[in-house]
Amino acid sequence: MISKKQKVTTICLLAAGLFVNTAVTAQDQHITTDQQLLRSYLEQTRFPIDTSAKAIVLYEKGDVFIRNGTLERQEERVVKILGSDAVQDFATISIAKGDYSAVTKIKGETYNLRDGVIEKQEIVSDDILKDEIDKHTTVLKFNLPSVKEGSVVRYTFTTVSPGWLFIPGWRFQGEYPALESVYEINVPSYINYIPLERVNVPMAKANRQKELAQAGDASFQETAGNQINHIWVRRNIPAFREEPFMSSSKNFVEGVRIHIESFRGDTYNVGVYSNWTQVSKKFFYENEQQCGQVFAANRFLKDKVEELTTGKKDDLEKAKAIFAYVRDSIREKPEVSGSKTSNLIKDIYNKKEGTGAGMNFLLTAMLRVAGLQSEPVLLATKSNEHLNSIYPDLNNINYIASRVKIGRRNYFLDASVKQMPFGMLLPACYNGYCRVVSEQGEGIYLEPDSLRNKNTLMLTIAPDKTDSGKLRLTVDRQFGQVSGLEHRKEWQRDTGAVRKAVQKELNGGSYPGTLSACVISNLDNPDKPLTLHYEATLNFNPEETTIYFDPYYTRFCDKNPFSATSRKYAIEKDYLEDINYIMRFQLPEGYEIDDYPASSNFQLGENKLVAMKNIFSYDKETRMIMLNSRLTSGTTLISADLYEPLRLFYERVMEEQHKKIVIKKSHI
Amino acid sequence: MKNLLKKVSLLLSILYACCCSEASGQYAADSIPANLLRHAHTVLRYSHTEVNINTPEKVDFKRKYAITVLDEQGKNDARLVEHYNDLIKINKIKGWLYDRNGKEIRTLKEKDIYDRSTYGLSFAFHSDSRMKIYDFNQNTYPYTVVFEIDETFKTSFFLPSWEVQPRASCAVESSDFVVKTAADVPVRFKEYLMPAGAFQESNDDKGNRVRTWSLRNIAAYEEQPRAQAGNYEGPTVLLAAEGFELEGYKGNMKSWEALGTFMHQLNENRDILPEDKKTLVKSLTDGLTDTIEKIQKLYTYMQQNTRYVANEYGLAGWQTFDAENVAKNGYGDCKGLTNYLKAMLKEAGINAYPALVYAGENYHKLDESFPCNTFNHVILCVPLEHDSVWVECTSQQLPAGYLGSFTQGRKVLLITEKGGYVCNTPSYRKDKSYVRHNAVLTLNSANSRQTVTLSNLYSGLMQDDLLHFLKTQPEDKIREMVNVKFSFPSYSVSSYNYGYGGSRFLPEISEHVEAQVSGIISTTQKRTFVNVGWMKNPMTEIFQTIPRTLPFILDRSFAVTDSITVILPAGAEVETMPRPVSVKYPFATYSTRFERSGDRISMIRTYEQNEGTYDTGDFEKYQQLYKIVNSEKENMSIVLLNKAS
Repeated sequence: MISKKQKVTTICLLAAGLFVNTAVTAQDQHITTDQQLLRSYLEQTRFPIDTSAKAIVLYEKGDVFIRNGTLERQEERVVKILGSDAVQDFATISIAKGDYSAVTKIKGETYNLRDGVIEKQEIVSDDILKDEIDKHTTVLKFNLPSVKEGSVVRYTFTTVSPGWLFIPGWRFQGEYPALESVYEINVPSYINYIPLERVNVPMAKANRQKELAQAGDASFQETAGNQINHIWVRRNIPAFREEPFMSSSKNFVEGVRIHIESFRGDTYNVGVYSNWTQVSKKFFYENEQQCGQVFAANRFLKDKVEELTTGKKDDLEKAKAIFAYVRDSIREKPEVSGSKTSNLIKDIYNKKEGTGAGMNFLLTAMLRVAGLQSEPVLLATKSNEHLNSIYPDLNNINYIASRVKIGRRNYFLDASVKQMPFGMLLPACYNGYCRVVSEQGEGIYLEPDSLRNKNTLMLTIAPDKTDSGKLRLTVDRQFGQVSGLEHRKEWQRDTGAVRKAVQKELNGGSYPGTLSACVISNLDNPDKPLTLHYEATLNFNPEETTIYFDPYYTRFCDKNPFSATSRKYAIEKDYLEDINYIMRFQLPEGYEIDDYPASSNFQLGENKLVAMKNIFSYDKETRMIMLNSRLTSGTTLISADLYEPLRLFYERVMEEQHKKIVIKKSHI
Repeated sequence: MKNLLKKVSLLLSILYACCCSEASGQYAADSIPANLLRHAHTVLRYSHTEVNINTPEKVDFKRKYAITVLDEQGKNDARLVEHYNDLIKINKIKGWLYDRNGKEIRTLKEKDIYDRSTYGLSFAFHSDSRMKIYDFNQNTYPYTVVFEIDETFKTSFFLPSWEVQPRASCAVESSDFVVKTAADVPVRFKEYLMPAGAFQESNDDKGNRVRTWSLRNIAAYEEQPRAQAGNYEGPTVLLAAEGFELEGYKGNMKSWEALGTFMHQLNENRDILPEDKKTLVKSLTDGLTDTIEKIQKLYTYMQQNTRYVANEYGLAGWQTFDAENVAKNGYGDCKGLTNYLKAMLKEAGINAYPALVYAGENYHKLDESFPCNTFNHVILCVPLEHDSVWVECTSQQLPAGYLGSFTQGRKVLLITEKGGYVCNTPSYRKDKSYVRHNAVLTLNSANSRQTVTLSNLYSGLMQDDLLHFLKTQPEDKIREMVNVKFSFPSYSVSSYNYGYGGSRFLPEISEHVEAQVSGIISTTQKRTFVNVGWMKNPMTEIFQTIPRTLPFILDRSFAVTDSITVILPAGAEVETMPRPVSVKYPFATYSTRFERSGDRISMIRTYEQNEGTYDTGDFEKYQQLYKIVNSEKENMSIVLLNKAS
């Protein structure tokens, strides 16, 4: 693997003037050719931008050239290694290429200080290994030599591929802080593009290119002849750190995306992705292999639809019957290598299997055959960037659901998930802007605030009538839509898992018990709430004079979910939470209530962004102590400014859930 | 002529119909015996595996098997994944898909097989390893897939093994293993968990020795956690050729000594340092007289100047790159880095030996009675007068002389110029692997937030993960970790620091934290509860709902001590202190005790676990103890009476 021809060059740079600068292309050469600057970076062990960073990107640049139907993309990076664990990230470089592309001009260099002398090592062509990943993908890979803590590394490569319809984007921000990140495109002036910049600082518009060299964040654009030159420079970019409760990092990472609107000439301007209405119509509504098939007459579905809807009292019942048929009778079959799965509704209907998107096309088509207003919905799930409501970004669309309008109400449907109830989508689908495909098309918002997960747990503890040394625990849980979906997925696969989950709950709590009965209902009927009933026997020592009883058999959360001490980005949750816990404890014979916590009611914000209510009461007649505790959220989006109050709110939740009830023997 | 053709055609049709009906009968799902359906997601209907060891450099490996998939959870068993490389050639793959009635639906088309490199799927940077993948992607259950695979190994250095039952949820209707060896190619075998009567031996008409194992009707079963004592859960046969050839290098593995000799010869004379590194070694060790100090100095140099890059391409999987290469490039794999340190030590006048090992926490245990090549890693052993120093050369964090959980406590093969020797790596039991938590809480009952100071010590294996995290993560990630790692209901850390120490060959980490903690004080109308049970349960939850029928194995010894001191406000009236608990089982001891001295209440909780194999009754006790520790944790409160206002 390792070439014996590898070239090791030691350059004595004691006198700066001795060095001959052979660099010609990239601007970074000032770092690796300016010996004083290079030496200072080699000697520097901490950088003010981030004093604990394990590496600093000193300079990086992406260059894109589109000419003669070819897309050429150069990438260059110069990095200072500050911690050994960052070595792997910059010392082993892999570049993937497809069938019709090539990777050229690969260079890699490592600079180290050795006894005060700058030592340079570089890779030679034999060091570059080729790995044919599969029929269509090849990876070129190499290791930079002698990379260690303190090194400065530089690598550059160029990929060449056919292309004139696409301009790649660039990320200014990554896992490590960067001192300077530059992106430059040189594209023909027939491309009419919109740069979509996502940066956390104001970007100035430079009038002349040389202004970019000055400190600051700016862009510059000029047209010379038939070429447009556009440059962005972003400096001192902090590392991007993902935080809990946030949507895809793609919504936050600083960068620039190039949206191509149209191609223009002297006498024409052909819109490609000008607006959603046009894109939706051209690529989806009119595409008969895709969404377009649902708008055809689809007479082959008529008999089945009639069979399903005959006798149904209204449109909602008809829609539910059709939805249940597609969900329960058609199997989702993901595509795997060597096996194509059909997207065509006729195939899917006949074979009773198809892709998830195809199943929702079939659902939509059947609803339409039944005379209902139904359309496919294109969306980006939470693993992707939010769809842009103005500039169509087709690459982000990764899910197709269905909508049916009954009366004045819209129902969003997904028949591709066996456990899905009518009128709900996966939580990941509630990701903001999405598109309803119809002749005119329609932009709508699917917000997580429209999904509420209402869980109820009722628990009763009473003395065992046959054994004074035991208490009987009865638990009834009703799971909300989201919890029901998650549990069904898990429990349908392994019915033994229900009992395991219950036993785990019993093992983990403050009063371990022995399970005696366990019944789960509606496990295979997603249209009805999933419920769980179980009973257990708890040990109880009737000789105890004072018992400190924990009224929270299970807690809403074991730990404060907001553990970080600070927050940069807004808190985004997948759905509204509503947990209702009702506990009744009938005192054993001979005991009286001695002490219990005061009821409480607290919330975050006047609009009850989150709220908790705990009501304790004691009924002397029935000798029953009761607790009704409820935690609700009124929004799924809380600004980072409210992070500390939110953390304090949950701190209070934790405190409340650690309170005790005290019962004492009545004769004491 | 026409009549004859008609007759032939009719005959062929009848023959075809017979074949089809035979196939139908063979793979129809309803012909599976009922006892094989219990706990099963798949049933191996038929499996025939044949290994023909013709010469030390040519081994034919043929398999044909039929597997019926009963439900979605068994789907992965129907997927074909065949690994190959420059030494293993796949000659042929055939496949058929049958429906529930045993009727053929489809056949595999070779063009549909997905062929890919394993790059990105394994840790290796450079490898000749590739895989062929095929999935009929059938969605209607039950169904049956039949695969026929024909491979040739260009070496007998490693040979196929036979594990009858691929997994617990796969029942086996019929499985055979046939090993044919030429008279002049001796091959040893070792059976594990093999029932009596499965094995037969004979000679064929060509004088080859034919060994056959046949097993029928093995039911699927529910797995029981922590029950596997050896390397295998079910009947298995391992093979090892006495003489072998690997890329032109000849060797034998009749004994561990012989295998060691081969590995030594394969890597001989590759430990020559370039001149500049020889000078460097001299400068680093000049003035040092203690051998261990020299080892530590050179190991530290290597950790700071090299990095791990795995190379498993062809012979490079077994033969190290020479020391000069690693010195020049600053990277190497486990062999290369081990050889490099060995070369530096040699230059410093210290002899060291590579040791082949199966690394990882769930590792393949070396069977001393059956010499064969079952290693995946190499470490370095420096024998000294009284003890040996063991060095993990791929780590940039571990101190010299400490191996960590990756290779500790197991048998390894030491490679010397005199051959191989089986020896043991050090074990880190509970006297070396422990955690001591020490917390002080000065109670301020007027405030729901309390200040808690923690002084904790982590030693041996109990510090491995923490050390790795601290040494590899940026400060903000460490801060995030400190704000999550303790099991207080809610807290924020106001200050923290870590120190690294320990005795020779045994690292320790000290941790000092001050935290603002909520949720440990709660009040009712008459009382204040101070919960001192915030510590994590040190036991692992080992869970099963079916009755335990197998022994119960704990593979690690360790000790955890939690000391918590609560300083009460002056005049505080204590109503109740938690009761002491003391439980002693063969596998563990657990105790809590409380002491009051003036305004101070101290709680000491200890848990000590002993590695070993325990009987089924002990499993129930383990579960009980786990529940006790959990409920103790919830109920461990000091109860103070509120003063009347």
